[in-house]
Amino acid sequence: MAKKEGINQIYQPRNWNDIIKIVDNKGNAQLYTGQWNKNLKVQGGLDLHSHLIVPQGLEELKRIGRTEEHIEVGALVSLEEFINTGKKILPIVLFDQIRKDFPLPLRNSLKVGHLLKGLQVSNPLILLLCLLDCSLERKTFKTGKKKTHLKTQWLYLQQHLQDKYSNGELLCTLRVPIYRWDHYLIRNIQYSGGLLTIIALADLTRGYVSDFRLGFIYEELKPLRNKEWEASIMGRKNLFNQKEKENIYQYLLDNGVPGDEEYLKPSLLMILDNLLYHFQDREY
Amino acid sequence: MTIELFLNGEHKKLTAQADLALSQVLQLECRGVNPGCGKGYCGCCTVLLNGKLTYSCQIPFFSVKNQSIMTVEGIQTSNIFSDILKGMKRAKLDICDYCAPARTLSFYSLLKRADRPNNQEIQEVLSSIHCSCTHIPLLNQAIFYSLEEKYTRLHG
Repeated sequence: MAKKEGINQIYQPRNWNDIIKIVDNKGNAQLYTGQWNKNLKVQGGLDLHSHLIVPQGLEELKRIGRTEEHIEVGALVSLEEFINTGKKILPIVLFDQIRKDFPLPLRNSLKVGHLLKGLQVSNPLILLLCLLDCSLERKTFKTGKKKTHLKTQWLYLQQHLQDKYSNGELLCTLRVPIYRWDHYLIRNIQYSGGLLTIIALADLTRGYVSDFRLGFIYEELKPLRNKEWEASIMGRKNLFNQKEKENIYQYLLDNGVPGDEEYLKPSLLMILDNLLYHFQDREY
Repeated sequence: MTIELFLNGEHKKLTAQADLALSQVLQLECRGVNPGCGKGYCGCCTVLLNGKLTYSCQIPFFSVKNQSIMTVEGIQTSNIFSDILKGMKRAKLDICDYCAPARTLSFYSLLKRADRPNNQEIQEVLSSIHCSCTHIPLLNQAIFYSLEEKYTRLHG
C-alpha cells in the first residue's frame, strides 16, 4: 500500500528571493495562492505534496492597483474585496457573474488566484475573462547553470490557456480593462451532445453596435472566440445575417463541438437572432 | 503543527495536522461548528474569520495563524445575539439544529455590519446556507424583526 503523503513543511517567505531559495532547495515545493478544497489543491490542481510555499507575506500579491485603462489585482486579494473595490468601474457582467457563482462566505475566503488556476476551463467565468481581454502576470522559475531566477511575463488569458501548465510558475496579477460593457447575455444550451455556453457583450450607440464580443465554451474545450466576426459586426445595426449565423454554427462544429441539427442549431440561431433585441430591451 | 489563534476572543494554541480543513479542527473545540458537507455547499460550518462570514471547510488550518475566529459560542453574550433570539421568537421561527448555529451567526454578521441592510444584502446572507428546514419568507421576517429589536434597543 502506498504511503499517504501530506505536508512535511510549510514555508511562509516574505520576498521573491526567499521563494527562489526554497524552490532551489526543495524541488517539489508547491505554491499556494488561496484556493482550497477537500483535498489540498494548489495552483495546477495537485492534490498532495510534501512542501508548501504560502506567499502570504508578499505584499505585491495582496495589492489592488489602478491605471487609467486597467485595474490590477494581486492573486491573494479575496474575491469580495476585488468586486467591492471595483464595483463602480468593473464590467457589470463580471461583477454579476462572480456574485452568482460564489456565495458571500466563499467570496470572503477564495482569492483571485482561484479564478486564474482553480476554475475548470469549462467555467463561463474563464470565457468571460477572455472576452474582456484580461491579461495576467506570470512568473516562471528558470533554473540556469548556477542559480534559479524568475522570469516575469505579461500575457493574455486566452494565450495562457493555450500553454501547458508548468510546475514552477505563479500567476501573480490579473489585469482587467476598465470598460463597462452596458449589455450582456449569457445563455446555456443543454442538448444531447453536452452543454454549450454562449456569452455576448455589446455596447450600443444610438442603436448601432459600437463594440461587440462573442464567445462559446463547450465542456472540456478551450474558449472559442473569433475576432473577425466581432470586427465585422461593429458599426452595424443588425448583428448577423442568415449566412453568418450558419457560418458560426459551422465554426463550432469545426472546433470539436458535437453537432445536433434538431436542437442545437435552431436554438443557437434563435439566440443569435434575438441578441440585439435582448440588448435593446435591457439598459443598465 | 501547532498554531496560535484567537478563538471566540480567547488566545489559544491548537495542534492539528496542517492539511486539515479548519472545520475539522474546530468541531473538536466548539459544538457550534458542524462539519457539514466539507465541500463548501451546505454552509453549516460557517464561522466568522476576522469578522467576515466564511465556510470553515474551505480554509486550511495552517492559514489561520494569529487570526481571529468567532463561532456561535463567542457571540452568546452580545446584545445582537439577544436581538436575534427575540426576532426569531417573534417570527415564530423554528430552525433545525443542523443549521441553527450557522444561521444565527450569519444573522449576527448582517446585523453587526449594517443598520439598514438592503434586500440584496439580506438575500446574500440567507442564500449562503443551504438548508431547507425553513421557508425563506419566514427567515426574512426574522431578520426584519431582529433589526427592529436592535433599533429599539439602540434608539429606544
